[in-house]
Amino acid sequence: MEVRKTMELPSKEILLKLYRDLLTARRVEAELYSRQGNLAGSGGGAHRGPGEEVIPIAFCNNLTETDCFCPNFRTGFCLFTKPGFTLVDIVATSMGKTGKGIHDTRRTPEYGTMPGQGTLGEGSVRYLGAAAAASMKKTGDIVVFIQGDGASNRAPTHEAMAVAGAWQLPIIFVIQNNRYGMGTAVEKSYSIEDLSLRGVGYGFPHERVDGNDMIAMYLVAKKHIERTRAGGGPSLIAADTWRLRPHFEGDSQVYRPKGEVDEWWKREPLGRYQKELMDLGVLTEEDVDRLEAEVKAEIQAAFDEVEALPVSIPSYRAGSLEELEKTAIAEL
Amino acid sequence: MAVINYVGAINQALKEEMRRDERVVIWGEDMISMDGVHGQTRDIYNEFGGDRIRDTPICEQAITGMTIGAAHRGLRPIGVFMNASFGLSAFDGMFLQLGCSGSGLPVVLYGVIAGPREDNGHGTSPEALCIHAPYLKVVMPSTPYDAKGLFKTAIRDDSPVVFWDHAWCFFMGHKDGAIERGANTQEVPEEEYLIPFGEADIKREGSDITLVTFSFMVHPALAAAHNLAKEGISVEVVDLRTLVPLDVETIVKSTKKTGRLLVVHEAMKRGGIAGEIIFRVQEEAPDLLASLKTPFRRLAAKNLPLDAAFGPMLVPSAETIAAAVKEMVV
Repeated sequence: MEVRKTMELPSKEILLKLYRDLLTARRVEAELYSRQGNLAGSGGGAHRGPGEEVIPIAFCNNLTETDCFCPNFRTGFCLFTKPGFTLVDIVATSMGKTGKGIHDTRRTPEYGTMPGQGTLGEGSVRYLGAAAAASMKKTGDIVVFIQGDGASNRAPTHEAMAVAGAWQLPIIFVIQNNRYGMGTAVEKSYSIEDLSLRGVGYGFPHERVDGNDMIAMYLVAKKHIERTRAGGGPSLIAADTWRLRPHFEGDSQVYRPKGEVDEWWKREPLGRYQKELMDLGVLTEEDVDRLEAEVKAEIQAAFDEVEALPVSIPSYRAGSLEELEKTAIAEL
Repeated sequence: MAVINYVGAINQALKEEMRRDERVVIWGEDMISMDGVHGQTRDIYNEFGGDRIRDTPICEQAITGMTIGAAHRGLRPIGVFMNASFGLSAFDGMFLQLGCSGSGLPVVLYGVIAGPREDNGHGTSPEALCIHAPYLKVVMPSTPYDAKGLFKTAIRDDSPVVFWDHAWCFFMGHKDGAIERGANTQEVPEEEYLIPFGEADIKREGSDITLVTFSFMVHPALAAAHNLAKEGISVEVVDLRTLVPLDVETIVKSTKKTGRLLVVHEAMKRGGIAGEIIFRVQEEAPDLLASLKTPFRRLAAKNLPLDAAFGPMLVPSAETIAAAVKEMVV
């Protein structure tokens, strides 16, 4: 990767933090799915995202508490790596629990997230508004907005990029290219292979990166965040990864060639990064076992803490029907 | 008190609220470069600068989404589509994100209905599409005084408001039973005043029939009422001013007095708001039915697309309103 040649390797401390984040993300997602099966808060089968964690983790590790961040809906569980959020927050909101000090990740504008919506792509213009607010109020906050290759074809994304370019707003658009928009392969919905080329027309600096390469992804995120934070304006990053799970659990995946998923599991980022750190001498076999145990205990502790909380109505607008009715205009 | 027109009233409302609250920002098409096309934003850039008002590219989805995101982050944005019709391309943002999820977001979306002499892409009246959303308040004034007081209320509201102006209100009003250019001017106070939402205004008192309408249609309704008075028919004209919240109480009270109810609007009849208004009256005042002298009636545009040549013939006019009233009263 080009970025590895031009930028210094992150410190050992950062490399290990990224490893722990990636390991935690992978394990907590599996645990959530086994217990709850409803990760994205969707009513249907879970929309899982193992294998795509590197992209949000790389950005979150370069953000501040007040920066705005939108993960792709499939990797929302990685939000615990964004300053302002904890593992307990993510577990609680995924398990339909609320309680004191527990943030609903879908509505915490003070920590830079907004409610999610089913009409994907539309979030781009709302996060654009956060960037405009930061620019007008001169807060110094920036916005990182991640969505998939499918949503990136939708009209609001293009309008968001048009305004971001014209106004030079502090926002970084990221296409988490996992090769499938539901059942449609990226080749069938784009006429370009390097999706970052979309940035050319909007006058953005643009970069394609291997989204399964933890170090390259971290360096690219760091570079672009520093640039935007310094007043450099918007940019577009295309991070290539692969969707290892069906669009939703239960989807028959008739649109996938046989063997494809098995092939890409071999290239998934956790094992790849672990091997690289061992090759670099940053991580030993003992470290791997110790971290695995530590993360397991940390996740268990988070679930225990959440378990004790009362179950709440899985609504992010109100805790009861009466409360929801109070939001109505005049008559019902 | 100065006599000003409708556009001048909007301009005053914007300036006063922007002076009062620095969180109020305006983003939209030709806000600076063309003063909002009709002059609504004249001199605002000079007074407040580029952090408070900004020209967007022509992209209504971005305008709508930005207001939502910025409201989440502490601003009170006004998003402006040049034409109300253009706003329909942002229906996801307007209906789903704001209308169904935007409770508690201080956003105003503003656009101008160009009137029936235009194509659908400029002249459509989209209020029926908006009232279906649980969290959208819908404001459609007819006079300079109402426009100023209601716009100030809209900006101060802590929930989403859709404010649709009608371009014909900018240029035309009623005078002596006719629609006349330049007739929609009024004395408008320079000092502070607000008009609460959900309070209809009786623009003309009468005893034979209640004519409920809003936006530009108030003017042909008043022209018709003026002419019918000469024939001995007394028409009470109720200007709703806001469609959500809807002042059913005033409609019911007036209809109880007159025994007749006619609802007039410029949008197409099928699925139009007249059906909603009439049914609401029936639901909330079932006792009214027994005292009605004639069944409820509505007068609206034909269910046809607008068209420069035929548009004015498709929508109600002072003449067709008068004819409908006569059929009900005589």
